[in-house]
Amino acid sequence: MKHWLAAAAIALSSACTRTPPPLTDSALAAMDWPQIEAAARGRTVTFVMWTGDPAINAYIANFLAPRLARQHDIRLRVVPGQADIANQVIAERDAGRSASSLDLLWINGETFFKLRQLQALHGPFTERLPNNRYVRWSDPTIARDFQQPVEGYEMPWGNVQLLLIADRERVSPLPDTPAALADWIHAHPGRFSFDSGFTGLSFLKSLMHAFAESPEALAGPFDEAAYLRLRDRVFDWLRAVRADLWRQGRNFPRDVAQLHQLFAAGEIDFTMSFNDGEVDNKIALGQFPASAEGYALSTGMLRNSHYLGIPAKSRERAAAMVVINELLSPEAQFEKLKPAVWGDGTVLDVERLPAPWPARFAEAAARSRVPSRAALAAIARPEPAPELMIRLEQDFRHAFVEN
Amino acid sequence: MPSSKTERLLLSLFALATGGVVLLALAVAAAGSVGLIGGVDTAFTCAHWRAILSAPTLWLSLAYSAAIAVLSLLPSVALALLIVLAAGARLRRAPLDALLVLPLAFPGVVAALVAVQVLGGAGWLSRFAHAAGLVAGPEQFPALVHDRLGIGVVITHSLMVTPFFVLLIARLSILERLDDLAALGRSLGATSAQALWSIRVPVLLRGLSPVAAVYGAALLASFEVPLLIGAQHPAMIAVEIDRHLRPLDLATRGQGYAMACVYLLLLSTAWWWLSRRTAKF
Repeated sequence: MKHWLAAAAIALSSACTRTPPPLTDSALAAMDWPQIEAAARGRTVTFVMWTGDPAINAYIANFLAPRLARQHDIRLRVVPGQADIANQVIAERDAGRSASSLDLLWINGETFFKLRQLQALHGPFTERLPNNRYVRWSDPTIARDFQQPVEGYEMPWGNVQLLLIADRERVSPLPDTPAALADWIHAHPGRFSFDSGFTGLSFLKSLMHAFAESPEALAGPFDEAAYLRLRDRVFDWLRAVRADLWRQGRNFPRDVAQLHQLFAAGEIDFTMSFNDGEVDNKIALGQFPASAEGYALSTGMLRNSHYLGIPAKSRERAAAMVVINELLSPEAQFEKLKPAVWGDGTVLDVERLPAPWPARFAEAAARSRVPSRAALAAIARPEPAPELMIRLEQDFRHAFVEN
Repeated sequence: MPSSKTERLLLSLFALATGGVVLLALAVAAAGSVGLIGGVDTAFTCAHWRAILSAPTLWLSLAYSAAIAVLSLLPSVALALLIVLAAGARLRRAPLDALLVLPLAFPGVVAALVAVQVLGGAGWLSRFAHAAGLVAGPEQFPALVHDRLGIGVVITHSLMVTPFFVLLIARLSILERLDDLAALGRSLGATSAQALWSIRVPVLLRGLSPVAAVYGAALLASFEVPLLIGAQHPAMIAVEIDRHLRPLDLATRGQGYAMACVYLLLLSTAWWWLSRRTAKF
């Protein structure tokens, strides 16, 4: 009965699914890389990604897709819905489908956590990709996703840090501690806010780090006592500034896109981004004022990675692996590092790349409106366990959005 | 003339495409609400129902949605009546006829984005107010979008709905031959005010009621406009259901299905009650 209901519910979305001959796990495991590349030729890979940024969409459409077609005879089909990946996987599972309509997933922490709960990811596969040898696995913000070991079930794609972005024509000096930020907010009522979505909650998690006794306070599995202690400190800070936030802290932008919109319109003087390259990118695109500048609180800001995963039931696992390997190539990583293209931090250990890549990466990484990645790395804080995000979202909503 | 067999087939297809879809949606929502589909684990549970029935969120959202729907609908109908009664046949002449149709072509997303540009803290109205020396900055301009009172949502809905009712009322006036009826009333001794309130308005309202009820239901379930320019709390019911169906914690997803069940059942009951009343009338 439940299979029938779910099948009916997703009938529309699955109506156009192709049915290529399935490649069994054992057959895929027995293949070497050239055989995987051969099996990938002529295939179409359905890539579920966040399509909310025209710059990222352009990178995929204008750089990646033609490259895949030219070099591997793979057709890339992009579908939006990154936030709905887990829901779609559940719908397919409930429908009893033997094959997924998705082949490649843009995921990170919370989605990885959900998909691992659902045992919906193919893997381990990362070590089979030739470009895996260049990945900076020694970086804990790459090797662990929201404190969860990656264990070969997702491949890092980009590495980024949370930044505050201020309009320097209106904000000087930059308040770089929670106390200084509170003073600025009191002195400029209605000109600061944060969203209640992923980025805003990441800002609150950075404040938890700022109020923690040590950078390791939130490391490891979810710790209820540590969470409650640090949550209360952050909420005390928020209550103290609430009346002087945008809309008196009674309403918050729903997501970072709304926050950016308020900033670009001049309604507030701060926004934030979980991509430290976004400031230069948005200025280049004319979406942020030239006076925008990104910076980190000296008490530390979160750094994390976004990843690529393959659904366990994808019929195109071989082709998806080839696409991921291509996305890890120095050429693809270099292209998306350029501020004018995307400004997304690389996950490669550039020093291990053959010449002339190290020099080229160093040159492309230069930014004008944000500190260097090396400077930011010194105050980077790791993501806490995913359960903390779930609790923080519920508690913040109850304490501030609904009250 | 279609045969009775063809007629039955067409009616069955229509029933399947309307009632069938609703019943299917209800069945899916019911299964999800008790944990049979849609969660991490699939085991029967009443926890989702207990959670949504005991918390104020669902009831607040339903009441808020009803209030926004009524507040959007009533002024729109009243304004449309006023426009038709005041403008009369001039509405059928260019460029008014084209201008009236224009807002109907705007999807909700576009209307919401325009509302931000006009009503937002840094929008046109705010800039005019600043230029006129009424406010010192965006933070002093009253909250007309993303506001808990739903002012921006009501204004945007009304601007989208009013042209539709203007067209409908203008058409009804012709079909019901209101000018002739009013003239007849006056020839029998009615004053202009009596012709208006005892002839024109009652006839129009009787013709409008079923359409207004359907439009009210559509406004009750409005999604794009409140999502883009409404407050997060309280939220209209479609936005609230959507939020509950995309939780960070997958274990609570059944609450979204339970909310959808309650909403579908309430709407179906209201529809059944209204159809009975209309039939009696």
